[in-house]
Amino acid sequence: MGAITYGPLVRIDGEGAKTKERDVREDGRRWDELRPIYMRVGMLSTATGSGYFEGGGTKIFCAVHGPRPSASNYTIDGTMHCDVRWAQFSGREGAAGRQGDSMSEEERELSSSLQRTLASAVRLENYPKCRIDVSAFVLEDGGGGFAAVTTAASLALADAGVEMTDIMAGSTVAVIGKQLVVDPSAREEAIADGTVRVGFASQRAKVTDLMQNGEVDLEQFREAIKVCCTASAQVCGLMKECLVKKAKKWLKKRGRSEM
Amino acid sequence: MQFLSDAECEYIRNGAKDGIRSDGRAMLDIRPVTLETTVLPTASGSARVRIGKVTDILVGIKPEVAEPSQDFPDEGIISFTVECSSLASPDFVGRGGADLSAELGQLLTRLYTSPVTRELRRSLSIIKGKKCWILHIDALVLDSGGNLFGALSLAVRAALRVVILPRVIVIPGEADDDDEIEVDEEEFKMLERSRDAPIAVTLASQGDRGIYMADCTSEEESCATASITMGVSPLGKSCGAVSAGTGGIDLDTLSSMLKDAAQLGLEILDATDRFLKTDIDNRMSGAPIVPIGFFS
Amino acid sequence: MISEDVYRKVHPKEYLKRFIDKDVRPDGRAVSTARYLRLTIGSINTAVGSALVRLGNTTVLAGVNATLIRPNNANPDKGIVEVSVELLPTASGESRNVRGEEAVVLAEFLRTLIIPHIDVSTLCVEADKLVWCLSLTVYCIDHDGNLEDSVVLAAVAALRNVRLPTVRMVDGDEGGDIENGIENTRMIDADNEAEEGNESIMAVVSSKRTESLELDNFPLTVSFQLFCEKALIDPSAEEEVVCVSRVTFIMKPTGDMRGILKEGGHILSPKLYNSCLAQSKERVKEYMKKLQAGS
Repeated sequence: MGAITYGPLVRIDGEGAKTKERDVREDGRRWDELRPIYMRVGMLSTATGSGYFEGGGTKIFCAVHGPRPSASNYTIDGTMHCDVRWAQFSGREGAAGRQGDSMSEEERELSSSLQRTLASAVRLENYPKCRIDVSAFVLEDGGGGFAAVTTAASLALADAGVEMTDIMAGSTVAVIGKQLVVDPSAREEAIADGTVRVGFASQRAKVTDLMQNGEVDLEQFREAIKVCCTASAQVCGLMKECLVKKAKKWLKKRGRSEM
Repeated sequence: MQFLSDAECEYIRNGAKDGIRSDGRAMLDIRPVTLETTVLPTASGSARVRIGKVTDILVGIKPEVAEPSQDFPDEGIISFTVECSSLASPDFVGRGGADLSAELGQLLTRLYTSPVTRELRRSLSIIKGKKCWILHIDALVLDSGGNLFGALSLAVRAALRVVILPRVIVIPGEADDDDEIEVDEEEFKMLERSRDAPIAVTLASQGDRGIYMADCTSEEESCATASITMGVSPLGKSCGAVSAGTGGIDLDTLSSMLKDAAQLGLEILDATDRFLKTDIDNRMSGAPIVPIGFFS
Repeated sequence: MISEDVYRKVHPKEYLKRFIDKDVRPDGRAVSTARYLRLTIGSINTAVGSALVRLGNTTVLAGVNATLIRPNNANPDKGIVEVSVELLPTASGESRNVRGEEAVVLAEFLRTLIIPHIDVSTLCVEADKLVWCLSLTVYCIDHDGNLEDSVVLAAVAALRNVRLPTVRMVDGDEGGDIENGIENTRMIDADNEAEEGNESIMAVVSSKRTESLELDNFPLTVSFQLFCEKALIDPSAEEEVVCVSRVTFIMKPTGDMRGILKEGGHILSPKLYNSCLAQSKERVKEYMKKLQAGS
């Protein structure tokens, strides 16, 4: 269990000239700059695996339970169930379902979207009759909440030792006028004409999930997807580093106890 | 959702690699579409869309005067209810139908809350912050043979193009807040800006690089590994896109899919607008509409 | 010969007993040692007050949301405080609502403890017109025993952290002018069903949050699990499953006792009671140190 801090800022080198209009954003970032990211795995005791993601104001816990025997019908492939929730005070009004109640429409949609993204990499055929439960909880949504959920969930799955062919990260790009901004803050998201969100599998270089809201030009849309993928690839790199560090620590600990 | 054997999937996939589909279409061809408007005498606007003689969707619009939402005081409201009739397909019985209905409804909501349709919503406003039209759009999926998103958005758009609303007279009151409205049941008007309404185009990929098809049949849909549904506005902008399927799409393929989806969307919009022109002219001139097909 | 892990699963009670007989607990603590407490206050920027409590592995997050509403007719000059507790699926792995009952019990426990200590009349902006509605939600992110103490501590810390913006009522005409200024205006949703008719209320809400909540004599709890004539302070989930009797001391911030809750059939002898009380007093000092350091 190790805390690994990255920082201060992750820079992404893209073709800046195309969309560069204003040089600096409200919070002092360049258009293609991510907020500082902090990731950690394995901090929840009851879960098989867990991941924590923090970027800017966005804070997310994600836990994976299982694979464990499925109570319901027999299935040849394993099944995966995702549950994404927003805290009442996460700053995203309307997203959080009423207390104790069933999920809000948005939570439901995002849960199935997360399930799709994760199922593209998890080798469910290796877990017959089993179910894997992925539950994510957004403590605070300072923009790009859902993209970060994808990242945290991938970390948690890897930490749980679930077999995967790839590791996924999510990222968001907002289109404000003619300007693309990577990893928008909540304020930037609110004033944006449109947002593009991508779930990206880094190893296979495939887009596993795509969502666009609002209004975006076709050219901007295609550019935004490219930028999203570049950003996600960077996040994937950090995730791998985080997991490798954790694994090294674990090996070291085990080595000592065997001696 | 039909279940196909591996051999059947292989057949479709290999055909797609050579650019051939089982019904003889090219990759981006769409099946013949039958479009009728004003099919329901009781609705203010209605449309029925059939694609390839299988997919069958009926849409009716019922307007009502209501209060606008706090967040958008100068806009009217468009609300959607989609029902997948359990008569249409055994898959629609129980939860399967409910999930699909929710998914279809969400896509429509996404298209009609995007800034592309803001002017359309504004034209539904009567008194800013006080009164507006709310359009209840009810869609019924009578039969499903693939490309539900496309057919549904087409039917909704056609119904919006021909919907008529009673004229509303605003009677100024003594104070600013006391304005009252009177609905004139004699005079009707067409909806302004209904041209802005977008349609959705779905392109599905079978997992091979650079190969994807438009307007899939349900067989083709069930062996698709990933698909993209994109809302296309008459100006060629994207106004809401979602992906489905767990296969994932590589970047180059995705990029060219989006381009083709926008292109195809504009072609469909153009063709339907030309087709609907006669219907709209008829409605404007008040000529009686002779029902055909289903309800004749 | 069965291995330790199997024995632990098959005979959880015997397993624990062997430890407790030697005055040590399975996680290495002494009987009278509580787990290390970490308290992070005010880390959630989108809430008006928040606190994250980590008691060993048990993780609890409390946050407060504030909205301006029209008061109800019975108490026109009093604000409203809503309290709820949720056990997240991250803690149990079960889909939501499976452990709903446990959450309801915890919420009721918290409500009875906390609500009397909040002066709801300070939440009034203008009688009959506008009051604050605070909704306190406590989320259990990870459950490794002793949720009671963690939930109460998190709730107290979050409420102490609450900073509300100042609110000033204005006339309808005045509102428009201020809109362009630094202060941010908000139209308050006028409830048309109210008897006075549909007059709308305008209020100016400052962008800075300064007003804190009066919360002096708040409660703190220290729980013990009774097992083999011994009281285990701050029980873990493993210990909670085996033991049925529980004692919770409700304390004042000063370290005086306010009340005691006991469930289960085991007897709490006077000797044990005195030692528990002494331990509780020590524990409250620890709580207060963390609370003061964090705020």
